[in-house]
Amino acid sequence: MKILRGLGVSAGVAVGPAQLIFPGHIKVSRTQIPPSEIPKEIKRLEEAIEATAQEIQRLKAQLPENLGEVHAILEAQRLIVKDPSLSSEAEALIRKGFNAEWALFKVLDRYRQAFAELPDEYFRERYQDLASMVEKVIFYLQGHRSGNAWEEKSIIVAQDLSPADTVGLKPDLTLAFVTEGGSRTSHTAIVARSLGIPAVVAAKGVLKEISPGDLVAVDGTTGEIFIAPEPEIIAEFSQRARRFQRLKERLHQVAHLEAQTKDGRRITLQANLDLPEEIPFVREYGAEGIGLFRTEYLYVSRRELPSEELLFETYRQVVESLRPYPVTIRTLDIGGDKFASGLELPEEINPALGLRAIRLCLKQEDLFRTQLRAILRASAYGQVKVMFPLISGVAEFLRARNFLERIKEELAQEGHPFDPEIQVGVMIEVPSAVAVADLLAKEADFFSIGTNDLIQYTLAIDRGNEEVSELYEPLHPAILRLIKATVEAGHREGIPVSMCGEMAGDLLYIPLLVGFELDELSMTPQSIPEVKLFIRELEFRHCRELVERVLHLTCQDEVKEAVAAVFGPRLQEFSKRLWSE
Amino acid sequence: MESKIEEEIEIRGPLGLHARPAAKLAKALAGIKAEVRLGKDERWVDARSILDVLTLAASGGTKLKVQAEGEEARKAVETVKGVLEAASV
Repeated sequence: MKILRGLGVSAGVAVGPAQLIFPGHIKVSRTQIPPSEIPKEIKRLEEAIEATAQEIQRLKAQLPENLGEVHAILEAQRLIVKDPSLSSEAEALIRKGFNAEWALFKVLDRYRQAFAELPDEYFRERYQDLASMVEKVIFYLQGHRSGNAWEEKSIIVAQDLSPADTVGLKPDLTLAFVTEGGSRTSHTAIVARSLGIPAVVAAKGVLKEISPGDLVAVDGTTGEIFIAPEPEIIAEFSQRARRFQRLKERLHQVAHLEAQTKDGRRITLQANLDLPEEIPFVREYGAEGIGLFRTEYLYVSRRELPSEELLFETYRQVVESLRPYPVTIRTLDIGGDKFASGLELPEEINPALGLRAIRLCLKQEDLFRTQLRAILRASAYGQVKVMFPLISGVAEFLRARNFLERIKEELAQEGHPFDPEIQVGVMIEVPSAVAVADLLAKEADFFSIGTNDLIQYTLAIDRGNEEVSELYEPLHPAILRLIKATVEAGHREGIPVSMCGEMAGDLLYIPLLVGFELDELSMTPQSIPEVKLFIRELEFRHCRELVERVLHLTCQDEVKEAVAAVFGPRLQEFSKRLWSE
Repeated sequence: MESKIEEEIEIRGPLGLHARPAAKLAKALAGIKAEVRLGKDERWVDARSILDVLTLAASGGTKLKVQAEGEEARKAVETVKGVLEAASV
């Protein structure tokens, strides 16, 4: 058995045989067409184009109506095949005596160069859409007829998949997608989510490790891939699959319920958002707003920095579709492990402790101004909150907040509408911020605890470093004390405290988080129904008692034991019921 | 009857004039009797070709020129404006 890890981008689990796909390996030869045969060759090209367009049309017709996003992507691909420039350029080459395959290949090459020069990543990447379509036409010309070579339900493994490939793979025969390349925002991820097919992307090494026909187990939530899994793993996966199915079925029943403990403690459950495309899921899973809108995508996906208009339009769209719920926008959290191609950043020996997040924004005021203007302008369209990442002390927060105030004045003078009462929060992720949380609470409108960085900085552990990653302990007594201190400091000044790290979406931690009296928890949308149902089974006073007890313990293992002693059976029973009801 | 019209339009939306609005545009213009071209920085392309429209790389905030020539030039320009103004996603 071998375990690989990628990025889980579409929830669900699957176990089945692997099917490998290697697109992009067309061979085209050049032949001379005699003048008398030219009209026939042109007709051959037209027929191949028409057949390919019809194939896409057929794919579209098989899809359920409600997948608007996928329909639109396929329609664009169909029109790309039928593009007048594509056929007229290829025709002109055929008239010079080239065969249809070679003519298409030459036209594709010209577009490859034209697209490669474009300044914007989004537009550059559209070349792939064209290339996959032209490949299909060439395949047809070469006498291949498309269709799946297999009739068995399979897990599709590939370098990357075009949107047409993704749906062309017959949803009922596709158990899951695994790609070596791709990211959370690639088309494969979006299409897989809309089709409800589990998907893991950015899984380095899968093409090398997996052979056709290998049994593979895939979890699209955790990103785990087991090659030749052992029987226990297969059993575990069928449990996960059942659990996921139950959850999906109960989703609609619980979406409108409140997250409230048996004895009346109400907790707001919100979603973390990466992309505007994910808003339908946010609503479907019953989130009461966005607790963390990560906005880095707009910066890292392109060569130049995004304009104020682009940011404004994106934020406005999210804010309007979430109304009346609030959207909490985190300002640029770039630097460190992330990379903005539009920014000239110096190489740093220790980027995690270097020029990133709020530090970078306060140094590069134009960058900060553009984003804050866009956020403030979007605040006229719904309820917007803004929070600053990596705040390490009061002076830094006040500098950022004062800068925001100046921008409000600018906008007021220019006559732009915005919410003058916009709430401004501190992300608590540096230990020094916790040490002065009482002072910060007097200046901020809310706190939001970012557990991933708080744990990394408190324990001095780089989670990405395999040598030390086992020391990354969310239940370390230091972390628990910091969370408690943050909540208490916030509540003493009457401001709400939320948590938006991965910890908030894990059932095991929920009794502690409820006991800590956090007001809001923000997590991936898929986790919300489960967390909500679990909270409804808890009693606030038991959670508080648990917190009192664990604060005296000395290590993570003791804390785990204490949680398991009180809530373990209940958690097990809850999980069992969740998928047997 | 006007034979040649030119107007300016600003592209909105975070992704700009991307594949889907370009596809909508090609469909909407089908059957309209006019040559329709889009121009950016003196580069002109056929508005009915998604591929050529995409190579304009018109991101949000870009100002494009619309030029139409022929019997239904006015209708063509209004169609372009209608599609691109509605496409804010």
